[in-house]
Amino acid sequence: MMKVRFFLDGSPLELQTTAHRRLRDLLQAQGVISARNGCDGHGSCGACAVLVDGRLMNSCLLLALQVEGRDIRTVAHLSPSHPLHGGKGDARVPSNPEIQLSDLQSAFVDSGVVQCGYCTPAMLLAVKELLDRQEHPSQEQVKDALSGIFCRCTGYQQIFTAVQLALSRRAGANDLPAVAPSFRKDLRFVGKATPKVDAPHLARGGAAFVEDRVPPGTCHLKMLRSPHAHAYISSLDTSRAQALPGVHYVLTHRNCPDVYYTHAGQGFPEPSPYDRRMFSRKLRHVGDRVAAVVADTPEIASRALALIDVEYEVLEPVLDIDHAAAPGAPPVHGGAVEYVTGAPPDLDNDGADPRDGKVIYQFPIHGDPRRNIAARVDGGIGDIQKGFAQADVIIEREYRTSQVQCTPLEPHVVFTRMEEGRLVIHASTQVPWHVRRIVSRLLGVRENQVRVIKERTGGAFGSKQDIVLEEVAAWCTWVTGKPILFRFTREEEFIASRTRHPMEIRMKLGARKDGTLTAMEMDLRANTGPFGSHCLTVPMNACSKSLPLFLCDNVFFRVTTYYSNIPPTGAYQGYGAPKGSFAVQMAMAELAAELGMDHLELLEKNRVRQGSMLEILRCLGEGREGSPQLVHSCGLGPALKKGAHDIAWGQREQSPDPDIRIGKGLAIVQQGSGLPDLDSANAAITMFGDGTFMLLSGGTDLGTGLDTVTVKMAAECLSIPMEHVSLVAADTDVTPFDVGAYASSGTFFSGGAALNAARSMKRMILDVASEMLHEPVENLRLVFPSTVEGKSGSVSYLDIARFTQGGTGRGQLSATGSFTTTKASFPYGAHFCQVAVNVETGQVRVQRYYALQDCGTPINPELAQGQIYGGVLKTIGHSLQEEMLLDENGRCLNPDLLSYRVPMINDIPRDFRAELVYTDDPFGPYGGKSVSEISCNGAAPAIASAIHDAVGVWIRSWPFTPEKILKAMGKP
Amino acid sequence: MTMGFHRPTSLAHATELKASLGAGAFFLAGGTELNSRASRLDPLHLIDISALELDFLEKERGSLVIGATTTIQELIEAPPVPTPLRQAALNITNRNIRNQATLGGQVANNKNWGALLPALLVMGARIRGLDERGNHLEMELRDYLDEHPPALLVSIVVPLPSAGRATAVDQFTRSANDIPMVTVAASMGRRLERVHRPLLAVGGVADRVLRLEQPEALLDGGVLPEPAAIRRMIRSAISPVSDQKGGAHFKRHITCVLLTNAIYTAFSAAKDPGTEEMG
Repeated sequence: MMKVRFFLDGSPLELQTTAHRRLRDLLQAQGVISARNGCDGHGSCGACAVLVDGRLMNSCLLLALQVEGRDIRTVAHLSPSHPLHGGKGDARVPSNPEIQLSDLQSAFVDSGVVQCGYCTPAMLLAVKELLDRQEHPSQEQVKDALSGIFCRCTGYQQIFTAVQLALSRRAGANDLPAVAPSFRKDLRFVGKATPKVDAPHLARGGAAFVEDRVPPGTCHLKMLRSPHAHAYISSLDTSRAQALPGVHYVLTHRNCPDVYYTHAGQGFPEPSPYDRRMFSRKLRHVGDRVAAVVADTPEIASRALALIDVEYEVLEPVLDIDHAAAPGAPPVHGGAVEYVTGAPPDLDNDGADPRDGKVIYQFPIHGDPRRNIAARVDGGIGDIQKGFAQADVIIEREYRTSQVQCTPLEPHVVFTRMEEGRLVIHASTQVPWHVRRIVSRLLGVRENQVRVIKERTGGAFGSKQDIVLEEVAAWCTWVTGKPILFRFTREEEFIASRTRHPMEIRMKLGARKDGTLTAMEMDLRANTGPFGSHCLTVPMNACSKSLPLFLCDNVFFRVTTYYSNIPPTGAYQGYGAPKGSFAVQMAMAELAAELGMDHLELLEKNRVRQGSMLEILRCLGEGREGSPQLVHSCGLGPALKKGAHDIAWGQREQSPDPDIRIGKGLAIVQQGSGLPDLDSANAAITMFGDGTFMLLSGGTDLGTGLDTVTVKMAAECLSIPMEHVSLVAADTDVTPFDVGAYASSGTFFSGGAALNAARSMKRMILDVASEMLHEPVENLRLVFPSTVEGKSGSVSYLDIARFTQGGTGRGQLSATGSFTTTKASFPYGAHFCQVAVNVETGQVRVQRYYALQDCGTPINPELAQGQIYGGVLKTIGHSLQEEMLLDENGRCLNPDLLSYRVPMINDIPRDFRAELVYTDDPFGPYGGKSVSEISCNGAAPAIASAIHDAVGVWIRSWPFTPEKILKAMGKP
Repeated sequence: MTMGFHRPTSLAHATELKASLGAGAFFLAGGTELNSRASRLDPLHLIDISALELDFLEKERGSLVIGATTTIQELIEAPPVPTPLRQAALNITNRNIRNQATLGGQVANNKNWGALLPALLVMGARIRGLDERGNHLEMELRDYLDEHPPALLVSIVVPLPSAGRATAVDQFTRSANDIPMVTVAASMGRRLERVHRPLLAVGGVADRVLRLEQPEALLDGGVLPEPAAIRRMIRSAISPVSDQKGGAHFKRHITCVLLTNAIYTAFSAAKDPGTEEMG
């Protein structure tokens, strides 16, 4: 041990440390939780950045001993009244809401830049460093200041607004820059930019995430993972690991529960096969589970993993769809197939290999695992052959999408502990109730013996819809009684969490000469990897969120999903739609070229409109029959009109550089707002003794602003300040059931439930006020703030609370609300872009990107824009630079943020706009529709069509690499 | 795992430590490479040279002497640093890294794509340092990169561009913070509309950053050839291999494009001293 002395946020510190200890680890041990770990010490994410003598550096790349005598500043120093040196799990920065934010923190909060908040402290320090040396920075200087910080949520664009806002306030300007547009003048909070309810705490770097809840003495779980993509465990000896002092438990296929389940966090019964045993003899991907070790420290756990003796019988891996579909291909699941209901009469389990375990379908989804088929479905409307016969022009094209990773900055993490005989799970999850259901079943206990608390998530993007580590830690805690932390490494995030399904989509379109579509055929093959999580619904969503954009009488689709040995796939923001959208929108662009029509004109001619009946949805349910839906609101018309105007559609741009060609492209997009007839959400609201409220919401905020939506619902409905609503959300002990955050359901379902609870409370308040004022309810109205006004007088909510909660009252007012629906509200959008293609290098730069989206009433306009920026930038990344590279043995070659090439601030388009197109939707809360996932559907086809406009080649596979572009151009 | 951390206060002490601790000991400057979990190096001992006061910039007889622990960001901000070197430094897009990484570290790491190395090579940089026995060492950067002798780098000596001579740098990446696939630099003078003493360097196409002597010789003294002819010269001078950054064929093509462009940029920026005098 050596001594190191430095100043931390202005106070001298003297600490003992080892030679190899990183500054980040030392700071975290001192309770500086705001220096986060997103890249395992590669220095590629910047989440751990601190100011060292005024310069921003990654504390993971600094040894503690290197900062001898230096001045270290964390985000805590931005809040002047912070106390120093709190303990771990007890934030250095207190959560007192009355604490003053600095002007920078306030600007970040007010601009909607704080989404998940995991990188926010680092971003704030970057801007602090910038403004300390540059009083009036340019946009390029802002980019440079933040160039080392990775944010997957925000798309970075609103940081410029935050900096402008802070500078304007510092200058005392009266005319502050607008943060976001306002909507619905008839409403006080809905449609207006208001601070995200959790943002101030996150901007202070307060304790909020799973890792912040872990007390000293917690055990650590580490996983031994398969080095082979396809193998059997032929021998396994854990005795040396178990004998290591400090090791409490070793879990393998021999002592894990003999229960099959799906990782997919979907409503029960799931349309995903139960093809996972917690551990199995058969290993199906590089990174599959071999053994878990629970030990006192991470170091002991790692040493124990090295002491486990394993021998493998290595099998031929199946890595792509063609191989999986080939006759005689090695079966990834060669075991018995069972059905809970609806077993086909020809089900034959002869020859099933018991080492492969089982695949159990809850109901038929037409899988044939022995032939590597996890699911199959087809359907359509009209007469597809007749439709093609009516066509003057027919095109057939195939499009391919790659395997991309969600890369939440906070990896998958769970903390499990026992409390009075019950299991408590602190999770970073999108689906707390599904976690509870799945864990309970695995443990063989009742659901009331398990509590799941959703902490703030440091990004999720679909990957945390699956239960990929919670059940293992839960089992180990249940068996050992030990509190356990299990946190994925960044590499595990790539090889053992969730990714987008690679897909191959063949499109066939028929049209008359005037552009009228006569037939649309979509044949989709998906690669689900080792497990069938979402194997039916993700590919079906690729169809159901792309085909209904067009009005065509004859439509046919076929979906086939194959098992393979690539790293696991699952849900990813957009849930299949970005891939279906790429194929359908590209096919339309190519059809336009074939017809000699303007692309925009062809889309206008065939696109969906308000009042359209979407018959195709009858056969695109989620593993069951769907129902046709009427389009009640559609903002595509104004979105296309404004986007075309702003980007000067049809006008050719020239670059002064002779090697650069400029092109423009567009795509129209849609999504859903949750799943009618499937999803449900619930909320409860209680009046406190002073007339303020506690709202309990099942909604699972992933950093997107859902908690702000639900609070706004209550405040708007009850005519109270938002600060009068406290919120507890997504705690299975405390809050009512909600399916979770997926399928773009948050605003529509969870927001709808909160509004319904508030409406119920409003009725109660009016009833009581009627009794107190001796006036009929019809005479009463709510008046802001917190007052009921009648013709004869008024009563405050304080009066009502005292009246109802007194000894002669009717009792504390408490109401519930739920939200289910048979109706669908579709968000729509038009995305336009302009790209510059270098004809010598094949490099593509997105110069302008305009996403115009209709989310009905934008409940939180600035947060809605943030969702759009974030979604678009992710998919610009997927289109141009991101791709998981596997070698011939199925090993991921780039399982880190740097070589995977996540988009950084210098990757954003030079001119990047997210515009909200208001429509009046009748079903969502205050007319709100979803906004996030749809944002992921436009970039790939818009950019690819712009590349074609620029250099005349169609790039039909992700990512659009310079190599592919040059090859398509016949170069070099 | 690093077991020892040493903070010498003199150059002599630093080299003594290195001699006594052996091959498992590494000099630590900024630490962006050595401290990274992605690093393949596993030092047993680290000798922190931050107290040796090697963060300086001095002019010396037509050269700029840059202390080894000068950070990349300090290099960018220092007025006397020649523009091409500043541009090469800015090609390290990540400011957090630039704030910590040092010029000496960039040189000592000797990455085959080293962002600053092609620029330093074509500017004729030399390194100064101490060898394992503490003896003064001064050698051409090119020789240092080729031989990579164990040494404590003290400074990098960058000749200031002679009158009329121009240098251009470029790199190829797939994203803003990507590790470059190819880095290039070209430097030359201009005499009577002819190329004068060109120096060319490329990174990413071999196991280290290379000077391309054959194309240099072909270009020297001649009229600047058409781009296609220059590309042919470059193509025959490199033998890249395929990896996850790109295929060999593609790398060769990109190198030809970037270096040809750099040659043209440098040539057009170069001034003929004779012409200047006449003007």
